[in-house]
Amino acid sequence: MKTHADRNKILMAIMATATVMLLLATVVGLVFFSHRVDSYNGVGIEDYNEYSNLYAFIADEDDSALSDTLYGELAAYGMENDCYIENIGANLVTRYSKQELLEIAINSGVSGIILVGDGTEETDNLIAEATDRGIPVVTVFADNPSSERKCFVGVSNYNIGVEYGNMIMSAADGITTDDGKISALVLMDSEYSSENVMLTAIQETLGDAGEQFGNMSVSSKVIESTSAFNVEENVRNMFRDLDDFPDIIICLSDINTRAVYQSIVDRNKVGETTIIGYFDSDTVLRAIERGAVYATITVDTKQMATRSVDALNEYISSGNVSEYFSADYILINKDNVSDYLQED
Amino acid sequence: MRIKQKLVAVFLVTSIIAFGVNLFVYINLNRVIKRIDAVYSTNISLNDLSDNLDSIQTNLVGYLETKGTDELEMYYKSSQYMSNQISGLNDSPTNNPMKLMECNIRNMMENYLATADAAVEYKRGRNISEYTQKYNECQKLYNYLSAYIYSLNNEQFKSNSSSYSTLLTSMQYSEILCLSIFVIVSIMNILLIVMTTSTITLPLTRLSEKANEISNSSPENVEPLKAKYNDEIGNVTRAFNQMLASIKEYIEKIRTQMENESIMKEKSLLMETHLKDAQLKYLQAQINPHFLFNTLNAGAQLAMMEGADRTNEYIQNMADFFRYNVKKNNDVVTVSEEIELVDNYIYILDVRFSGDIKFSKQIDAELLNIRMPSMIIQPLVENSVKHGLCNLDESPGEISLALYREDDMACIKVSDNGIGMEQEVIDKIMANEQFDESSSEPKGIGVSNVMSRLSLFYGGRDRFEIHSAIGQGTDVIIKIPME
Repeated sequence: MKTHADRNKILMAIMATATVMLLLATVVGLVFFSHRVDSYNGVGIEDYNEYSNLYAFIADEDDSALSDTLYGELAAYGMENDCYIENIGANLVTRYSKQELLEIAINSGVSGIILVGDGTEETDNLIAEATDRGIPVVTVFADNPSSERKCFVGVSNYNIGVEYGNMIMSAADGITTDDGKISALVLMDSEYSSENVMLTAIQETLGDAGEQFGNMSVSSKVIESTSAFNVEENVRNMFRDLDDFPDIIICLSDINTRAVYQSIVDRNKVGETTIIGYFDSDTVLRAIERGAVYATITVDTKQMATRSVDALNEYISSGNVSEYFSADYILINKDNVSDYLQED
Repeated sequence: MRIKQKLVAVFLVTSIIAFGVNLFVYINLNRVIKRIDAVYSTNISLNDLSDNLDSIQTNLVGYLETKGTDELEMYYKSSQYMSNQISGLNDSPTNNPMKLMECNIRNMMENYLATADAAVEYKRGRNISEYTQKYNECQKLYNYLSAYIYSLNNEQFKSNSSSYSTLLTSMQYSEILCLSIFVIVSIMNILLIVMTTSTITLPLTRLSEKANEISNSSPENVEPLKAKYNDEIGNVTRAFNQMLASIKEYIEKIRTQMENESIMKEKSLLMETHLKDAQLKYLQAQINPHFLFNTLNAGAQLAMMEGADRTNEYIQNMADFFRYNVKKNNDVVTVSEEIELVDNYIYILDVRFSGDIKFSKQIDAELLNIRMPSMIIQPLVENSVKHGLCNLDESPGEISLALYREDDMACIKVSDNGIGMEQEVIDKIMANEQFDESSSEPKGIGVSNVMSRLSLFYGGRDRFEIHSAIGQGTDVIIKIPME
């Protein structure tokens, strides 16, 4: 049986142990608290890397999926090569025109500019100003051939036009009309020369094909994009105003392809008309899979991005670069669409 | 450690712990609050930058319009301030959008300031077309810069709001953490105080319990306390233990004393009992001595009147003998009084046995005043007559009494030349064994009674010896202390 003194001893031992444990808990708590407070100093400060060169990427005003994809490829490849590609104007609350963005890029003192060309004189002048300030400009997709740009990275518009021509012929094989005449409508973003080259190549390809396609009527229309959302409206208006609905519609831009597809679906004309699109956006790929779009042509954006960055780097390091780098285009139709869908 | 020191130490330790923890928590919370305060500092800086840009533009326009010196002065001041402001902005390409915008703002601002300076210079040179062109460039850049600063401010505000929210949440966690730490520290301090005060109160409680134990039961059964500490309580505990030991010692002494007193009382009672026993035996042996004494006195007076002197002496001796018995039977007497009684007894025997008994004395006169119990020597002489001489036929019986000194003892020796006795009989007498009660001999005061009374009177310091052999007579020796 435990005596009173023994109980006291046990109680004192328990209290001493508890005190030591509480002291340890206090020390651990204070250390933890201190570490936690230290960690607050890092709140709001994100890790970031610094790069040797800053290149500005300036696309068309309408943010097409193609531009976004290209910028993604540019940024990824640029960071691998110690340069950061800024999608200039993207983080601004105000939307600026291509020319204004060029001015901003020039005044921001970027090391180089990757520009989706538009062939306008105003842009040529700004390219000249950039050149004056020692900022090399590389055009992608579309060129400003008469400017002082150092290099153009793009696909051969003529070859693409030929490819479109071949696709039209291929699509026309399965189309039968009452009067035997097949009509094709080419939709362009602008009357800018690169798309004109494509249109010419389409017409030449069809003309060279002989009588079978000699009767095919090929017309073209420009879908103006004066503001961000008016392409879709313009497409709908155009369809409404048409007397005869075309058998084949060829879209030479990404936004036109998506707008036309949606409009055809809305008008319940799927199967009555054949759409040949541009770029491999998700919408277009799924439409090809369902048979709503016949085929599309896209460019190898990764290759284009690589060559653009390489061109700027080469110019900055050596002062010279080739004026033209070609990029490959890819034809996607029902046969190979699954490959691209899987990739997504 | 003293109680005061203990108390001061525990209060100091707990206070220091509480103060230290509070200070630590205060400093860290202060850091968090400063961090929260600094969250929107970037927005404030950007607003300042924007205001300054507006000031530059306004003053530039004012100067270009009126060429006013005040505007020019303000323009230069704002420009200088702007140069300082933008020097703090990032100037390296990064993958952080806000840092990148800072870089763009810095570079555009430098271009803007350079263009504005050029416009001012052209204004001074009155080159209208140039300063108009420069002003237009400035206006464009001003618009771009305003858009950039506004956008960056927005982005910063979003980021800072998120940081602010995070910090506020963290602050709440911190408060809970701090509260928990305070609770832990408080419990720890309470335990420390309880433990320290226990070293003071527990010994006091034990001391109190011991005191209660002593008051409720016998102190002899109470164990002393252990004094663990060298403080005042320890001292009190040791003093308490000392006191307890003293109490136990005193109790032991008192007990011994009481036991001694009890033994003494017992002795006294026993002595009284034996004396009564002797008296009873005497009364049984003699007829009422008072009656006899009175009778003998009448006889003596009659003998004297008739002229019978010897008879008168004889009766007078008998009267003295019995008077002694009547008067002295309770008292302590001197040796000389005892010897006188023996003389009376011998005279009576001498008359009775017609001078057949020879009695001699060797007395050391210095010892005559020693005090001793009464009725000691006469019974021994009577025993010698009864047991030693009664059966002697031829030679006359001789009895001698000697009083002499041996060391610090006085010796009384009664000797006879009688038949003596065997050693076995001597041993039985010395062992105080009773003899056959049916003996026809008249009973006197027995040797055993004499031995017992001597032993009681002297507390065992006396000696009683019998030396005898068959046909050799008997010597009975009593040795008594001289004081």
